[in-house]
Amino acid sequence: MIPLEIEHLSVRYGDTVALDDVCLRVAAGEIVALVGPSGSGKSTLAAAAMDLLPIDAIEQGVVRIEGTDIRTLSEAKLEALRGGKVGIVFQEPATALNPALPIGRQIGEVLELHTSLGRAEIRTEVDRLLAQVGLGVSPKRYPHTLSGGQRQRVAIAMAIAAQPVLLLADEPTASLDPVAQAEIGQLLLSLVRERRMGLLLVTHDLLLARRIADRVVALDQGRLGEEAGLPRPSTPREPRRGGEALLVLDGVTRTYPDRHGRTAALTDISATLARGETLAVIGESGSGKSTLARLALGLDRPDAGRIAIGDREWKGARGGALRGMRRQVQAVFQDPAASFDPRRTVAEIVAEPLHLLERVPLAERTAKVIEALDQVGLDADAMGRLPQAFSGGQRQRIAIARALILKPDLIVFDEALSALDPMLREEVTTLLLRLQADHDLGYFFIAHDMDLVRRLADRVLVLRQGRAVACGPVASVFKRTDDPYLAALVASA
Amino acid sequence: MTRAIGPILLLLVTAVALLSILWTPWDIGTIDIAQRLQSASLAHPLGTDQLGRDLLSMVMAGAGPSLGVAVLALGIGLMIGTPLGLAAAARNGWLDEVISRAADILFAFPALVLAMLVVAVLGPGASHAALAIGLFNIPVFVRVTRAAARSIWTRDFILAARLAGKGPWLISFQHILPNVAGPLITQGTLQLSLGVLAEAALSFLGLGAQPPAASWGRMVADAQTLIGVAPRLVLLPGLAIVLTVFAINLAGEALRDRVAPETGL
Repeated sequence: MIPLEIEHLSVRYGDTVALDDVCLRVAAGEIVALVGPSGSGKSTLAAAAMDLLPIDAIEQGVVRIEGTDIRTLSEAKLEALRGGKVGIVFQEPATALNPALPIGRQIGEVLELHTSLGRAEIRTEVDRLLAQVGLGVSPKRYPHTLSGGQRQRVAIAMAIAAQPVLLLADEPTASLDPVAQAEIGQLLLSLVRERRMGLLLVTHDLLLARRIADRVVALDQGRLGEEAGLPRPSTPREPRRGGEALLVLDGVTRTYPDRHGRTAALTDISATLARGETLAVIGESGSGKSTLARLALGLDRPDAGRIAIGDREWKGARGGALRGMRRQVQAVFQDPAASFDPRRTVAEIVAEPLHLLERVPLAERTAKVIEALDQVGLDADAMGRLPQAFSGGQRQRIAIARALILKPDLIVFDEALSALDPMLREEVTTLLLRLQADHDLGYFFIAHDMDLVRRLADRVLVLRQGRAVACGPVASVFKRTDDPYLAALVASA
Repeated sequence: MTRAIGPILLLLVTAVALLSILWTPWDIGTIDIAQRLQSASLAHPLGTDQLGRDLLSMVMAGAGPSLGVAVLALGIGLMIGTPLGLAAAARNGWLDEVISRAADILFAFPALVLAMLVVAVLGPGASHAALAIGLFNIPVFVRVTRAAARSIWTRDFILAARLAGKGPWLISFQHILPNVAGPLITQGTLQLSLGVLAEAALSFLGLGAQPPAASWGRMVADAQTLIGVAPRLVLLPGLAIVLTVFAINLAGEALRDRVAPETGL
């Protein structure tokens, strides 16, 4: 019995073709990775496999689960299928789990619905499942007490609880840090092999696909194409020796109050970033990367240590001096959807940093906005529109234009490319390299993607639990194998 | 079409309220016992009340105090509560504590009972009723504004505004206020319709607009013993109250869909 067979599947929404004559099989024990840019129809295909398409979708073709055409099934049988024969793992474990129930109960619920096990049997089965997904925690724990990787393990335990023949995983690692990403990839691989399930892995992470999948198929504008050409890891770029120091971090420590007094988010971090140079900061979630970014931006003050832009310190800077420093440092944030006030037009958004200058006449303002948009490859007619009208990649360009308008010396990128699919990431990376060369910009670059670090960064600072594990040129830091944490981070991509 | 019903209905009630200031079919101050409790006729389309006043004129004139008091009370709540809520959200620490606890204290009292107390102390009348109801709108708007504003403060675009050198007050008015408009409109219409009901309750108890001004609440109160004889004396002002509240709620929904469609609260 073949877990999943899709034959000549076409799906349309009105006039928009989401899928065009797609044929795909997933055999037992096989991992098929489905890759493609955003909007290529990946999610539509996954939804069609469970007959979960929105009602306005027009469908043609056949989807068979273990030989049964799912469109001949009644709604009740379909419900038994979803979560029963077909297990599902979603992108965001934080929203896929019910925050009000202990994890053991949630896994138990799946068993209650899809198996005929008794109470005591369910309890032992839950323990067995937790062990199988490598989660050595009590079933009485609540989701919010677990890390992202642990929550995704719970979600996987729920997905496999009813012994499915097919597992659908929709970007299962996209919201995780690199270490957890690698671990979840490994877990999926071993589960599929052990249980002889089929796994359809929807992802835009080509490296994950290459690592665990047996076959990689690419979707482009609804058509199934050739196996995607997989990227080779980039070679680290030649470190350039920059000139004067632009950003100086010297023994920086930041603590936050908590129940037991204070916990340190960052302890004794020192690093410098020169003009025209890129310093990458890597580390797992919660290692203090974003705290460091906020400190560098002067949005937060350290408890100890010194943070200076050029030779001026954030501490004690007020009035004109503070505005002068702010003009030198701008930022691009992770989530292009949250980076803009949804009620402001692109022109207003890009012009916002001009607030730091003395009154700028309207004509000059407009000229500056047009120039900034032009530098990131956007037309002037974008100005009157709202940010929601743009795609993810274009929004990130708008964010970069906003960061450029004051012609700063330093730009802080807080995982600014993680939300983009590989093609857009490539485009934006090229753009960033060009802008850096043109304007001699310093980049303070927080990243999850090691390949990006190799391409963009001269030097890298590795954080773990708020402490610097390593700091130095990318090539030499990535070569080190003596530290298991560092090795796991580097191997993760 | 259904979208338009609320606003049209509310415009109608408002128009009647404004018209009644200038003109009503009959003078509501004239008592004519000989004409009392007449049923509907050409001269008196809705009949007359227990004192011989034209009921249509009474219902029309009642719209003014009803809407006026509710709007005034809403204005007091919005003008004072919203800035306080914005301030509490912008400044964690003592200012937030003071504002939030003060709102909690006001909340702890049953609103209508204390409104009665306020009116009893200040003396009955429409403006005092508005003041009393408005007082209890303040903590509502403090809470709604603070909660919505706090979630906006965590967004990245606020960081971008701070990087542009904007301080907490400027950010509050340029970025936070427009983005909390949705919840404020939703709460505003709720408070407006609650205000209409509260005004009716206060006038029912004789604490609202005073005679000879008409008031729906007092019309119900005055006619309650006659409900068996002439039920329309109670039902018509009651119906006017219900219709007004209904119109406000529908209009509020339509307004929110226009101003802040993405909130969907």
